[in-house]
Amino acid sequence: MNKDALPALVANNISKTVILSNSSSNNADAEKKITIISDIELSIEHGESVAIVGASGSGKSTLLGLLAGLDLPTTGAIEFYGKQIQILDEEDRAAIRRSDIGFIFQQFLLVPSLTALENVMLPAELSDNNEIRTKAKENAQKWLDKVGLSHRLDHFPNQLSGGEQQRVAIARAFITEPKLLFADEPSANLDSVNGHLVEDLLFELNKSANTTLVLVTHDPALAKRCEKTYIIKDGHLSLQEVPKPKLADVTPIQKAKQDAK
Amino acid sequence: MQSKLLTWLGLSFRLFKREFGRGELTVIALSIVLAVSSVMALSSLTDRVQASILMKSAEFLAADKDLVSPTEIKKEVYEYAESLNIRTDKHIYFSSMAFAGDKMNLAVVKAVTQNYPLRGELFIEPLNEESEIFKAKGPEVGNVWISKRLYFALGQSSQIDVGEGTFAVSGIIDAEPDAPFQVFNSGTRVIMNINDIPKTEVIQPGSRVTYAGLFAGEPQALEELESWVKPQLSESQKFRGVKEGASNITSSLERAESFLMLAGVLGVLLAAVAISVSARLYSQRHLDSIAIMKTLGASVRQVQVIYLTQLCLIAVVSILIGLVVGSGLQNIALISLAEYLPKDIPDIGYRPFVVSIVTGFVCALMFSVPALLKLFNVPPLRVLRRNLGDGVSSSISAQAIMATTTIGLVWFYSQDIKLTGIVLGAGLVLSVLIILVSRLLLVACRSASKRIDNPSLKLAIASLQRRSKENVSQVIGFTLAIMLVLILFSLKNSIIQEWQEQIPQGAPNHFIINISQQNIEKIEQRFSEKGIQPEQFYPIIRGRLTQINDEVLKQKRPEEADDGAKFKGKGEFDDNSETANKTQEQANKDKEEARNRLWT
Repeated sequence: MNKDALPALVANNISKTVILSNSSSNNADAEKKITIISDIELSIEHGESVAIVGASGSGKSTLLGLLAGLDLPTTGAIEFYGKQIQILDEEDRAAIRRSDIGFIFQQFLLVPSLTALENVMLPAELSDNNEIRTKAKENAQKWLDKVGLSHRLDHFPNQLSGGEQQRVAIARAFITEPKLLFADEPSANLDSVNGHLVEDLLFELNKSANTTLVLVTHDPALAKRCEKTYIIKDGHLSLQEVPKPKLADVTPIQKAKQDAK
Repeated sequence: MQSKLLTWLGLSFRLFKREFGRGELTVIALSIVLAVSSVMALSSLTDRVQASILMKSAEFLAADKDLVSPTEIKKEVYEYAESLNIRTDKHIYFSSMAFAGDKMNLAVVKAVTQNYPLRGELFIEPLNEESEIFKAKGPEVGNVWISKRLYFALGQSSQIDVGEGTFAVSGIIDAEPDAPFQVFNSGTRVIMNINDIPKTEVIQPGSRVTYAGLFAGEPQALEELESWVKPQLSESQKFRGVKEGASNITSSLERAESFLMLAGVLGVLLAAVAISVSARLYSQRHLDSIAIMKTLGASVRQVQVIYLTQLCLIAVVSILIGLVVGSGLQNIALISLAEYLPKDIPDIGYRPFVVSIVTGFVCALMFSVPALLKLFNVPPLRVLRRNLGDGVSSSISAQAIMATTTIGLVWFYSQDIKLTGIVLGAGLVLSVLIILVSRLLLVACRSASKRIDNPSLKLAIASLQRRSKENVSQVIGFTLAIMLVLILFSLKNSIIQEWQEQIPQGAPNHFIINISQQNIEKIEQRFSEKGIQPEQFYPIIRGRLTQINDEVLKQKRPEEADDGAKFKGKGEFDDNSETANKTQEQANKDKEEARNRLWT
């Protein structure tokens, strides 16, 4: 069976409940159950770009954590290319993330003591694939060149601007050529110019690499650039029944490089 | 193709390179250097001083071990010793008249093999005064070396008779390593070859002869020989070593070593507190990095390899620096103590290295791993929930690990359960007190902060309260270190006092014996020239104390008081004292009483 024929990601009726306990009280009643998301149904095809839109506190990040295998649902099942991930332990889920998933975060989350080049090399060095590991440096240089940062290889994160850091994070997300890419508010911490630059880069690279993209954002305009939009409100997810929007014009990469210089 | 492990190690080394020199890792490294260098300096110093004293003692025995026996020693003993690569020597001691023409004198004869001496050096002065003193082994068959006094007593004859044998005097004994300390009868020594004994026909049934087997070799082989020989010994045979011979000095040294090592614990404890605090800060700062790595798919094993390799690198580098610094400090100490120590100090053995390296690794691992273990368990979800995994405070099990390690180290260095118990008990009481007092203070601060308007002060108090556990554990660590300083101070005083009590005040350090009446003036003059005030010149006569101040002394000399002199023919004239019959305990008591009376 061709694995790529399977949906990239399927969420079957997943819910997440947390228990808040008041540590200063010994009373058992002080424990409070909060359902953050409930009855989530979702299916994402391979190569598709999907936006999950919601206001702050709506459960976007919780859903992202569950879909990426960073957290486990209280009920329901999540399938990653047909493989149920909620029954796997952390080590097995880490192995899936290592080989098939890329991440871009709002706070960039680069390792501060590694240079831009080393940060991009990091997922490749952690990979189980020999070839990816061996070519880590070469590919890292290639991806940094693609995001217009070939002149910043030896700079540490604190020596880079926000936009540059996010571009390093994008290069890091793509180096292992993952099947699925999660982007959590990728431009929320950037000014509008850099934000758009990063968004353009993300969509362009995603398109050329044919990666499935799950984009979590509160920005409806950004969500429109995806093929499908889900709206999350009070922990409930619904598909936005609107015509499939066109991808916005992307900034040419040459221009991005020029801007960076 | 690059192996996974190599890639991870490369990543670890890169992180190490960046982190080293900034912040916590430097503190951890310096702490390990402190612990290792203090332990290295103290243990190597005591080891070397002890070894040098033992080596000196071995020279007095002319071997590492000897087996003294009133009957001939079985040849199997020598064969077994030689099979263990132990060098051997055989001695026979007896007293006999030595004759030269019409002159005669009672001589103390020591027959030796040509292996003699196994330890120390024998110097012989040729009869021809123009030749120089030379270093020698045992005399050849037909030759004897005699003491100067005997040489003159026998009219400077170049040939003497012992029993039925006639021997050429081929030299005068200048220095004999195992020379007996003979107050009354010094210097009538004859050293002959053991193969000449039959020629003398002196040894007859019933003769008073002492046989000795001497052994020198590696400590392990000697131990093996000892454990093989000892069960076969009769009551009248003794297997002795240097340690037994110098038991007073070695036990004093062992006590000094325990004390110094306890001082080493202080360094280790301070290092431990610094390491645990730094490791916690380091962990706190790396929570995000590890969460990122885990999100990118790093397994716990990968994270462990990356971070524990860094710790090992720090430990190895710091331990090496610590060893070098410790050796340097130890050398400085030896140079400053050179006046009081023997000239030839043996090299540092392996023990101080082992002790220091173990200390370094124990410090590095046991006091930082609890914080690192917390770090390894940071959930990857922290990348989305930023406060997840915060508060890398020490868990109870982590604190238990550190407390057990500290107790283990105190015991390891002091080798004294009682002392460890005292340190532990005092530590527990102090810890409880500190916890109670700090809780009270925190409660007082909380209520006071409600009445304070100063926002900075409020913030400071709030921060104190938020980190109350960490603060209390740090205070406990530093208080324990201070407690150890106080214990060391009181121990130092008691050890010095104990040593001082062993020797009465004003006891002389040196003795000169065998001064003839006509020489007293000259010697007094010599002393006054040198500015030395001798206490008094006492006439010495041989005799036996039978009564002190109306108290009749018991007759038997306790076996313990026998330092082997009698066995080895060094006190042949000290006879007829073995008649009475009483317990060892009583004998010791009497000896002690007699000594006390003599000193007062």
